[in-house]
Amino acid sequence: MKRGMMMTCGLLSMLLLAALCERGFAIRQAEPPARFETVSVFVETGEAPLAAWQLDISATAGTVRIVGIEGGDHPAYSEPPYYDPLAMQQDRVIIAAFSLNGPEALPSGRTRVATIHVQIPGDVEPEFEAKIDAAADHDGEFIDAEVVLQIGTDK
Amino acid sequence: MRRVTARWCIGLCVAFAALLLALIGCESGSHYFSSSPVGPMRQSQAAGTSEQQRELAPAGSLPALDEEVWVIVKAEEGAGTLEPSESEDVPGCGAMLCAPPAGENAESQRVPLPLKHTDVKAAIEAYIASVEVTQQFENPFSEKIEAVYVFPLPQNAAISGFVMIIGDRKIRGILRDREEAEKIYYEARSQGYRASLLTQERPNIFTQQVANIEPGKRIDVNITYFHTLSYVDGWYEFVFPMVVGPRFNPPGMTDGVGAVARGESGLSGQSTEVQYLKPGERSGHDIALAVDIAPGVPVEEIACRSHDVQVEGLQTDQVKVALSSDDAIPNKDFVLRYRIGGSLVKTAMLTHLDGDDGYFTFMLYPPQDMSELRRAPIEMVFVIDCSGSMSGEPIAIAKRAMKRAIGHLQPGDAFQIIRFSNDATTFRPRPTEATKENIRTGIRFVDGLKAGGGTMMNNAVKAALAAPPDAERVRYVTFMTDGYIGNEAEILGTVHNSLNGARLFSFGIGSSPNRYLLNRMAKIGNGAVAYVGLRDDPLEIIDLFVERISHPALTGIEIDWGKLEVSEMYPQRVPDLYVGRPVVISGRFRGSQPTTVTVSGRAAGHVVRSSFQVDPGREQTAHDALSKVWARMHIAELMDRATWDSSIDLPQQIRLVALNHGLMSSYTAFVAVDSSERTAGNHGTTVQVAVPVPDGVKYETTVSPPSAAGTSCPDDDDGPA
Repeated sequence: MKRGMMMTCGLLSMLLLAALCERGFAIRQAEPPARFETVSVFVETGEAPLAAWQLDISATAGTVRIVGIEGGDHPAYSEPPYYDPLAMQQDRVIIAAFSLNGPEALPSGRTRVATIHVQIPGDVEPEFEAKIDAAADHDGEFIDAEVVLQIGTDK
Repeated sequence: MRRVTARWCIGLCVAFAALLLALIGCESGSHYFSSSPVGPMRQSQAAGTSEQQRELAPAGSLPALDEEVWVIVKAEEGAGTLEPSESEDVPGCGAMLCAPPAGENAESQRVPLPLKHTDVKAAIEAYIASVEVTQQFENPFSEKIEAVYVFPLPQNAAISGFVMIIGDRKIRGILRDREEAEKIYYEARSQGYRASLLTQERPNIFTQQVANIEPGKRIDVNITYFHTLSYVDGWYEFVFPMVVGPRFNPPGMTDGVGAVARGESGLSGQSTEVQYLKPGERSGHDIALAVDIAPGVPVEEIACRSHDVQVEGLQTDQVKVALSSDDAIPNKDFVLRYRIGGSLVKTAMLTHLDGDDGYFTFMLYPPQDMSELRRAPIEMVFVIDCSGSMSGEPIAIAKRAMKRAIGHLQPGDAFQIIRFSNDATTFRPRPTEATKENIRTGIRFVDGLKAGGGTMMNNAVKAALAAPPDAERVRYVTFMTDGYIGNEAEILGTVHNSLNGARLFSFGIGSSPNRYLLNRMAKIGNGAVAYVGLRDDPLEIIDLFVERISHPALTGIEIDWGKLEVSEMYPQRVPDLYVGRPVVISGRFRGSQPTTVTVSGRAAGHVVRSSFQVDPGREQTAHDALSKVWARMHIAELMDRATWDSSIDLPQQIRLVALNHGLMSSYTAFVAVDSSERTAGNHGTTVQVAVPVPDGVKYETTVSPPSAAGTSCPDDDDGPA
């Protein structure tokens, strides 16, 4: 009886040890879960109507994976913009869109043209760099424009 | 003392056991314990789901995946937890329950599914189709679900667009390496984000997963692709497949496509699995389809034997075709054929210039004077699929077609007949002369064939190609099959390795044949493919085939590109041309000057030559479909090669081409995540969309019963009578 109980205890101890080891190993191996975030992309054109644009956005610090691209607020840019697949392989995004609308149906001032959905693995807070490759008005003339990124969303 | 020790030991044991259970519970959740009250079938379903997901999911998300086991069990146990809402009774609405509903009418009632509707919009310019497919997923349950849907698309579709639609918001999906995309999807799913993932299981079979659809909410997925049309005996043909046919997988195979009954997840043992509705069950999933045809010249005739359609604008160059709302059950391929003025059909080269570089696609038609040449005697090997999936109408159609073809044999020809299901047997030990008596006996042999059993197609391919070549006759092998197998790569590899100068013609039989397999068999086999639907006249189609092979093929084709610098052309070797069957070629080029392109080859010992003018500067096409078509043909060439050549890293090459051109492939996948908002709770229950078996296919002879896991193999009752 006593011997059987001792054996049972021994067996349970081994099982417990194995479970603890496995759990401990799992804890050591675990990475912080990747989090998901949005990056709003605003273009500021002053008085000029925005009829076409192309942007180049990349992360300068931290690791970021782009997991979706959403359209902007203005009806002229509500469709999600197309991206360059070659740039995407380096998790750099080149996006562009245009509208054939007249100036009255185009955005001006500050407008959100896209939202980038990203996954951020690890603890490092990412930093982004954005530049505007081109912006044009309804006559096809280049216009001065500024791009502003905002992490998080007000949706 | 002894009693104290015993008590101490018991107490210690209990403490250890409690601690151990707590630890196991922490790691895996208490779900397995919760499952004990459910019945055996439900337990196997839950376990099957878990197993299936384990293969797909990254290691880090496994604990979360186990949770769905618990949710499924809970749903089946708890009345009202996963009950469909009132929308269940509305046609076209609903979602699937994880267990068959109880009650006397379980076999005849509507089965709600999370896939509510599919909308297809196609636009055809010249011979290139741009297609948008929108799948509407809706959750009428009281808990969140993940919808999983295995569905077909054309085998040559260049899938380049993927958008997830939530209300009025549209999120464009990103093409990534498949493993990376899956990892992102499962992490988003486990954290409660709405997400979708599109993966390719075969060139014509895809899996759509949509995570975290909340009760009463809808998420749409929009897929965009391009493909070239085929041209068959004077008709352009647009095909949209609607259902994956139930596949047979040879014993021991695990990366096939399993066919199981609704709710029997995981039982096939295959990496991809299609669930089928049982006889008498219906789903609310319907389909709308519209095709705009703008060939640039008037469309003279439209034919759609597969479905009822409404046509507007016939005899003009802008024709609109719409699927009738009375024919909206997605259980067969939509096959639309149209004919333009015969004299206007000529080799047409489409070009797209981007700076100095360009892409071209052209459909190379056989020269007219080939039809005046007659063929030499042939050895015809007829191979007929007698497996269970062919039972009923398909085998009857195949037998009629085969008997007609045998009757067309000429003196001097020889023939053989091979039937296959679980095994392959021949009409005669070796090919026999096509005498009147032998033809009569051969037709009687075909008359006696019955369908039943598995689809060991590889044995039939080997049997058809194994006999030593006849020095006097070219061997033509005709395969009549629905192609419902999961080991396509093995079959294609065997065709390539055993061809030995023969030509292989494949005939797809039935309402939803495996067009990827049949097309590639014909391509690798230097032959051609034809399809015989349930509403087609098999005699008409076989007569066209006989007419086609009654003229010699144009072989050894060479192309002089004139002033164009052409590179990276696919297929790399121009296939032989048959009367009435052009081939599509795509490549890259430099140069924008008008030039003359000359095609030459040999037919029955004669040199045949034809020329046409090209002006790449003027004929450039506005959209970028041509680069996608080119990349898709490049991937197809690499995929074909991968079936017989493992010496180089073809998967990596395919991955690079796909990523560089933003195209779907076996090694890439589209993922889209809505990071703006997390849904409450865990990811909910995984619900697989069950589909009907294709029109004309018998459920009983194709879908695995629970005891036949790993195959789709009913009892064998076939063989010559």
